[in-house]
Formats: sequence, C-alpha cells, structure tokens
Amino acid sequence: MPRGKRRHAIGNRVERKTSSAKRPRTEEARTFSTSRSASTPTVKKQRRGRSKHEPTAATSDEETVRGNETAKDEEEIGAGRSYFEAHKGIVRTSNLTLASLSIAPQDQLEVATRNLKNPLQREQEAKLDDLRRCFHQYAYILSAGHSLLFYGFGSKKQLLDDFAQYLTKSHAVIVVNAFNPTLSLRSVLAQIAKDFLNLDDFSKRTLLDYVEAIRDGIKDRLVGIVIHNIDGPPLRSVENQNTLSSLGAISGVSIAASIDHVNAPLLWDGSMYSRYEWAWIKADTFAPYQAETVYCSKPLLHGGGERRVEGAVALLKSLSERARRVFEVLAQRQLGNDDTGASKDAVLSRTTFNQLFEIAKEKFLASDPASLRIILTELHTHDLLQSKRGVDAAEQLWIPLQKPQLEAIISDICSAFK
Amino acid sequence: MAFKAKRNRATELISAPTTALCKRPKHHQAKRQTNPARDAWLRFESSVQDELNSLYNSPLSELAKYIDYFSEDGEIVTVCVLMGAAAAAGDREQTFQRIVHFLKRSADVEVVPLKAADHAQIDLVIHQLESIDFSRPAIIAVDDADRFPESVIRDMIYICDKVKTCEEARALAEKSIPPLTLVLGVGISDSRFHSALGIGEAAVILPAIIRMPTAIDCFRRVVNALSQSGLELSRNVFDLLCGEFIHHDRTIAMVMRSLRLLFTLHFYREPLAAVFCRVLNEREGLHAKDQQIMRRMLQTWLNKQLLMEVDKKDVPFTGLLDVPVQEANRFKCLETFGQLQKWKTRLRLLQRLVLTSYRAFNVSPRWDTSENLQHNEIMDDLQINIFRGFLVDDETLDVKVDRLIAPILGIVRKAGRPSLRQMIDIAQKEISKAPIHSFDEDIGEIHHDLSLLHDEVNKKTDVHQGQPKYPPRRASSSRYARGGGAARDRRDQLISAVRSEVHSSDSLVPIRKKLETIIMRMVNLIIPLKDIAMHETILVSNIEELQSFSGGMGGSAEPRTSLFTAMRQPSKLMEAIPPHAHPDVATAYRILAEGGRLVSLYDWYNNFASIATAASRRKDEEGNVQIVPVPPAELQARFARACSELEFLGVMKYTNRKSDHVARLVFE
Repeated sequence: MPRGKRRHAIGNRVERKTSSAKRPRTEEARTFSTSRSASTPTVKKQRRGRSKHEPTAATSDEETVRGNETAKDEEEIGAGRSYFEAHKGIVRTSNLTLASLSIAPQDQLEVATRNLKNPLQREQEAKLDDLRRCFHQYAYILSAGHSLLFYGFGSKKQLLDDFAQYLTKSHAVIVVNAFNPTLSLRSVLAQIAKDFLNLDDFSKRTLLDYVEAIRDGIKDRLVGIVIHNIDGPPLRSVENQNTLSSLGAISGVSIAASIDHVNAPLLWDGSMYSRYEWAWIKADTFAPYQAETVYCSKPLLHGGGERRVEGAVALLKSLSERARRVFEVLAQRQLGNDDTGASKDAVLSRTTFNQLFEIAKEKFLASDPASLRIILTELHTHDLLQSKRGVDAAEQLWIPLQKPQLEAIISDICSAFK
Repeated sequence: MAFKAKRNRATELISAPTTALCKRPKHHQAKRQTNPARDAWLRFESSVQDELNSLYNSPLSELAKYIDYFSEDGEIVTVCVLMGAAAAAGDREQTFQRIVHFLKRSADVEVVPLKAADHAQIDLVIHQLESIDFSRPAIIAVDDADRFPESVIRDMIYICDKVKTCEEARALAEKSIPPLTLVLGVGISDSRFHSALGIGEAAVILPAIIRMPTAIDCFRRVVNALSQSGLELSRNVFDLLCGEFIHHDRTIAMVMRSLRLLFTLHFYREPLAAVFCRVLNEREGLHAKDQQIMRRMLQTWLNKQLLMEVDKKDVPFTGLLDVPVQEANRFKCLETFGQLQKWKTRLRLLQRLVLTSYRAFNVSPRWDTSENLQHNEIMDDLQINIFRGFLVDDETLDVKVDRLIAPILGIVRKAGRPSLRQMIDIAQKEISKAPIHSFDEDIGEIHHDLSLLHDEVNKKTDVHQGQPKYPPRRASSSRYARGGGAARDRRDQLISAVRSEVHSSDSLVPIRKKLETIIMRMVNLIIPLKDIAMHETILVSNIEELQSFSGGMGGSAEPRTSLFTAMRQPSKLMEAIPPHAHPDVATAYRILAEGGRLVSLYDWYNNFASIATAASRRKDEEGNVQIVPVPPAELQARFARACSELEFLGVMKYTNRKSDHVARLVFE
C-alpha cells in the first residue's frame, strides 16, 4: 500500500490525538490562535512591502526593479498556497457535533435573531447616501448603452430598490429577486412582453423567442430591469445568462444588477460579457443580507440535530413494521458496539449484510436476502442507512446518526408502537 | 407564540420573485432621448469597423478566389483559414461571422456554418449536410476545425466526397462550378489538422491556406481610428488599454469595451466634448441643444476664469462682459474649439510626418528606458509606438516628441540631396493632406517655405564652380603601356568625384539648416495642452475612474478581491469600523480560513463565541475593563446569520461528508 494511502486508512481508525475536541484549549488560547492567524498575512505583507518600497540607498534602480519583480512573483505564487495547504494530508476535525452544544430553543433563537442590533447602521446609511448621490451618473451610463453591475460586500437590495425607484421617471421598471429560488426567467420575460409592451402571449416559445419579440416590440419605449443577485441559483444556467445578455444588448432595455457570490464573474464568457457591457460599481454597504439569506440553511436555528431526529422519526413511522424493526436491529447493534462515542469512526459498530440477514431471519423479519434488500433500499433512499464495501469485500451497513440521536429515535419509536 | 413569530418573520423577509414597479413611466410616450456618448461611440465604432474591413479585404478577396476555383480532378477545395492570434481569444466568433457574411454576400452560394460546440458529433454533422440543397454551390464553413474530434473531421471529408457525386452536384460540376467547398477555421497553426487527416481523406481535398490579420494588426487599426477621433488620450490611459489588451489574450473586443466605457465616463464629466467631437467629425453646424450646453458650460467656465483673472488684477474679458453673456459664451466657445482643433490637427500632422519619415528612412524608434514599459511587444510596432510618443503626458500635460524627432533631425543633418528632396516631398504631401492647411496660417507659411526649399534643392548647381583648376598631368607613353596612366586617371576621377561631393555637400548645408528649422518650427507649434483653455474637454486622463468602473480592468477578479478585503481589513472599505474590530461575518470567515477543507461547526461556533465574548469588553466608570456577558441565544443567532451569509457568498457549503461539518470553498 502506498504510504499516503496507508496513513489515510490508519487515520480513520486511530483516535486522533490532535483533534480539537481532545486537546485542552482555553479561551485565551483559542483567541490567540485566531488572532495569530489573522496577523500572519499582515506580517507577510509588511515584509513584502519593505522589499518593494524601501530599497536601501546602496541598491541601484535595476536591483529595485528586480526586487519588485521577485516580490510580485512571490505574491503570485503565494496567492494559491492556502489551497494546497488545506488539501495536504488528511482532514483532522473534532467528532463533536452540534448536538453536544446547548443550543437555545428555536423560539428563543428566532427572537434573538430579530433583536440583533446593527452597530454599523449609521455608517451604512451614510454609505448608501453616497451611492444614491451618483444615481444621475448611473442613469447616464445606462442610457449610453451599458448595463450596471453593483458588487462589493454587504446587501445591495435597498440600494437597487432605490435606484429602481429613480429609474421610474423614464423607464418602465421591473425588479427581479433572483435570490428567490422559485424565480423563473420565462415568467420575467412574459411579464415584460405582456404587461409592459402589450405583446401577444408567447407561452409556448423559447426564451430567445421572447427576446426577439421584445426587440421588435420595444420601439421607442424604455424598460429597466433591476436584478437582485443576477448570480442567484435560478439564473445561473448558461441559457438564462445568454438570454439576459441578449436582452441587455437591446437598445431600450437597461439592466442594473447586483452580484455577491465570490465566483460570480465566471458566469460570463467573452461574448456574453460584450453583450452586457458591464459598468462595475463598487458598493461595499456592509449591510446584513437579511432578505437574501432567507433561503440559506441555518444549522443552529434548527436546534442542532433535533430536526434530523424529528425527520427520521416521521419517516420511520410512515414505513412498514418490518422496515422499522430492521432499523431498530441495526440501531441496537450500533449502540451496543459503539464504545467510542463517535458512530462513524468505529468500524466495529458496522453490521455486515450477512450478519443482519441472519438476525432478521431469526426474528422472522426477512425470509430471503431479496426481501431484506428491498427494506434496506427503502432506508437508504431516505438517508437512514449508509453502506460501504469493507476490506474483506463484505458490505458494511450503518446508520449515519449520532448516539444520542439514535437513542432518541429508538425511544420515540418504542413509545409509539409498543 | 413561537409559531406566530415564525410566520411574521417569514412574511417580512420572503420576497416575491418579481415586482413591477412602474408599467407606464411619466415620460413613457416621449421620444427616447439620445445620449451624446452613445452617438459619439457609434461614430467611433463605425470608423473602427471601416478600418478593420479594409484590413480584412485582402484575405477575404483571396478567399473568394479559392471558392470560385473549380478542380478538374474533382477534388474538394478546402481552405484552411488561420484565424491568427486574435481569433484564439475572444474575437474568434466575430472573425468567423465576418467570413460567413462575406461568403453569403460574395456569391450565390449556400453557406452551412458548423461549430464544435453544437456539432461535435458526426450525427449532427450529417444532419447539417443532409439539409444542403445542391441546386446551387454549397460552402461548409467550420468555425473551429481544430476543436472537432479528428475522426469527425475525417468522416466529414469522406461524406463530402460521396455527397458531391450526387446528380445535382454533378450537374454543377459539368458547368465547371465547384459544387462543394470546405472552409475550415483553425487557430494558429494548421499542422494539427494536417496530421489528423489520413491518406484517403488527404487525397480527395485540394488544400489552401489563408491567414487572417493578427491581433496587433487589428489593434493598430483601432489606434488609427483613435487618432482621428475627437478625444485625446493621456499616456497612462493608453498604457492601461495596452495592458488590458495583452492580459486578455490580445482581444480587440475587450479593448473596445474599455474604450466605450471611457467614452461614456468622459462625456458625462465633459458634456462639451460631445459638441466638440461633432464639430470635428461631422463638420455640422451646431444644434440648438448643443448651443444650450455650450452656454451653460461656458457660463461656469467664464466665471471661473474671471475670478482667476481678477486675482491677477488683469481682466481680459471686460469687452466681452458688455455683450449678452450667452452670445459671448458661444463666441468664446467656438474660438476655443478652434484652438483645440488646430492643436489636435497639428499634432496629428506631425505624427504622420514622423511616421512616414521613419518608414521612408527605415528608422527604428529608440526605447525610453526611464519609462520601464511593460508592453514591449506592442511597442515594437512602429505605428503604435509613435502614436504613444505623441500622447499627452499625464503630469505635465505636454507632448514631448524630442525622442521621436531626434532621429529625423539626425538624418537631415547628414542627408544628401536625394534624401533632402524626399524629406521635403514627404512634408509637403502630409501638409497638403491635412485639413488644417487651408486655414492655419502657420502651417500655410511652413508649406510655402517648404516649396521654396524644394526649388532650392532641385536647382542644378555647378559642382566645379570655384574649384581650382589643376594643370593636366603629363602622360608618359611608357607608363600608359604599363597601365600606370589608367590607374592615375581613375584616381583623378575619384578625387574629382570626392571634391564635387564635398562642394555639393557644402552647398547643401544651408538647405539642411533650413529644413531643420522648418521641422523645429512645426514641433514648436505643438504647445503644452494645459496652455489651451478648456483642454479638459478633449483630454481623457482620469485613469482611476476608468479602473473603478471597469471592475479593475477586466473585472473577473475584482469581486473576489473586494470580498477578501472586506473580510480581512473591513476598516479599509468602511472607515467607521475600528481597525481591530470586525463584523461577525468577518470573524467567522477568519476562523473558517484558519482551518482546512472541512471545518466542524462545533469547533467553529466555540471559536466564534470566545472571540465575540472577548470583544464585548467595556470600560466602567472607574476605567476598569469588564467583560459584558453575551447571552448564548444572541451568540448563536449571530453565528447562524454569519454562516448563512458566508454560504450565500459562496465561501463555504454544508456537506454530508461528515455530520455537522462545512466544506470550505474559497482559498486565498
């Protein structure tokens, strides 16, 4: 076995001494660790900066230029270093989960979220006011045939909404919330064609047909499309971006959009870029993404693993009696063998298919392997079971849940059906 | 209660997919207003297209010859179009479109375009080939033959060979019309295409190669159009454009995008630039709207000037103040425009003169080592180099052409009669071509002096005038017999030739000096731009604004950089944030970036909580530092919000690889 693979295999079995759960870490130590890592780039930068900007009197201009080039090269090489550092070797993280935290009940969390203060509110308002003062210029750029792309950290929803209001003086304006996963571009185009331009119904046409129809039907009218998060999931496909860029290239259609995703510019190739004719506007508002993150997952708000337990119990209740009992057998075996406290870490806690079949046959749960396989497939479909080939090629089965979660589920099922 | 809170929050925050703000704006029925920047850009773009068309004419006419060629042996004429360096990048689609349009326009043929992105499988190619109507000649134009699988190209040639044996194709062949022609676009070299073909396929085609213009050729044409436009770029702005051109695979489309933005931003800052460009380019009368803009702008400008002059205790506009101010503004504006136009045309005249002289006398431009140019490969091009040399310096607002003029003066100082004559001819021709010649008195005077000098150079001078007469040498018959006399005669002839050359050269000295003076007079006509009023109208030098609106030129890395700055040094972007304080999301990011590719939510939260608690220190009345306890629910809510925001920004995602873990997606 190659050395790297062996280390990896061992790493799965042995108890990880360096994991943060086992390591005694005081509060100060943690703080220091964070602050030290945060200061590292600054130190590096200072070092680079010294070589770049403060040549000694003895060094010639040529040496300074060479020094600059070397510093630039180093900077370029160092730019992606963290990727290789992160992907080097095995991942060592603690096995503790959110279930081990004393997470506040969901109601309290909701209330706390609502009552969170925004310490930068005044500054954010000032920043927004600065940007609002430039609306005249932005409108001019739009009328010159460019599209506007607002980027930078912080929610730009308020800013774009205000700009949409500003545009209503001369444009018919539609605001598109592309962070909403239920959005469909077809409905947006249909709304523009039908409501704004009074064109015929194009329900059975392609997206590009809509664009053609809008191009023909717009005449002297002006339509402004303000898109919150043009990089949002519903608009990320190539087809949608192609359609939007073609729409932006129509004289009379003006697009003002915002992006937030770190890799958003990769959405566009050269031809799309040319059609959009972006004018980039830096808008670091630092405003919280409240409306935009409604659809993102919030692990703590779900009370750690609580939601997972609820979901598993609901599913098991809807399954057949035999499937429930097979799950129970698996769970009991897993709990009985699970001495380490981390179910996934211990290979011993896994049951092979043959072992399970023997038990199931004894308890009259399955008469032949095929019927057991049907039950297991059902559990697998609902993410209540995982399987893997072991070193002896035998299929190993386990439930991807933590010990307390399993106990909670078993007690729930027992109380419901016994 | 909890349910109620949940419902309220949901209804507050969940947004509808779309909102129609205004279906009928107030000025909906009004005619769409024209944007001067857009108009100026369209004019410039059409001039660039004209330049590019003239560049593409030669290879396209060559292509037309091959298409009309009929092979008696029945081979398929296959034209490999080397798209050049430009086509390897973002301009390929545009170049191919140009070819397809040309083919469609040039003859009554059916053009079937194929692209690797759409027709990379042989079934799709066959489907396209089946749609060909062979009642008229067909051309299969493949955009990117080098991106097709080799087998598909081979099969396509094989099928084409079989298809042309059909009845309709044979009928065309009988009339000596080629029924089918292949036009294959390849990147830089056709070697891959040749190596892909088997013996059977190579035997049925008659290959030919055409080279499309390179990216530098196209860029030179853009520069040419730029020199004729109304605006005057500063040197730094031009260097920025060159840098972008080089860093984006020499894509002309990218340069054009930046130029368009540059036009828009400049016309917004300087509305009078639109009027100037229109006057310069179209030579139209001023519209009423232009006059209105002029009045408004001149009002401001005049007021500013007057204030400045009052400070100097010298008021030159006293006479102008008597007449109505609008009229004065208009008059002054036209006068200023005239000066600007004169300056610009003189500059371009001198630039053309230098360029033509460099070409005629085969001079290579000298590098300015002090500038440390980054784009040597572009600057190797003579025309672009000279164009750059004639741009306005950002600091001094002056055009320093000494470096470019020095070689010409050197040539003049050593020039013989023919070279002088050639130099004078070049100068005369360039001045005659210049539109300014008719009304610029200084240039007219120079033109007149050149004519006189031309006559002087052409005047036949007696080379022996003033030479001492040497007595003829005695010839010795015996020496002649030995050949010594012939040698002496040759030597005498040589000496007399040298003498005549020296005398002739002496007679050229005043002509050389005169020509040198004329050239220096032309150079001196180019005064620093800052000395001309309202030079801001035509000068584009705001490099920061251009960089800002183009997303750091190119744009692709800017959001990423911006995000990292916001996370690492938020005080740089928002001054109100203290240097050592960070918003929650920045704190969460910094902890995340400290870890590997997988991060435990448990650890992440614990780290976050400890930092957030430590940051909540407050000084009491006595000045003692106290840690204000933060409720766990608040900490958890803050952490959850930070997590959601980081997920939304694409920095991390939840993973099923390990329970309650997130995968880091961004590595600085």
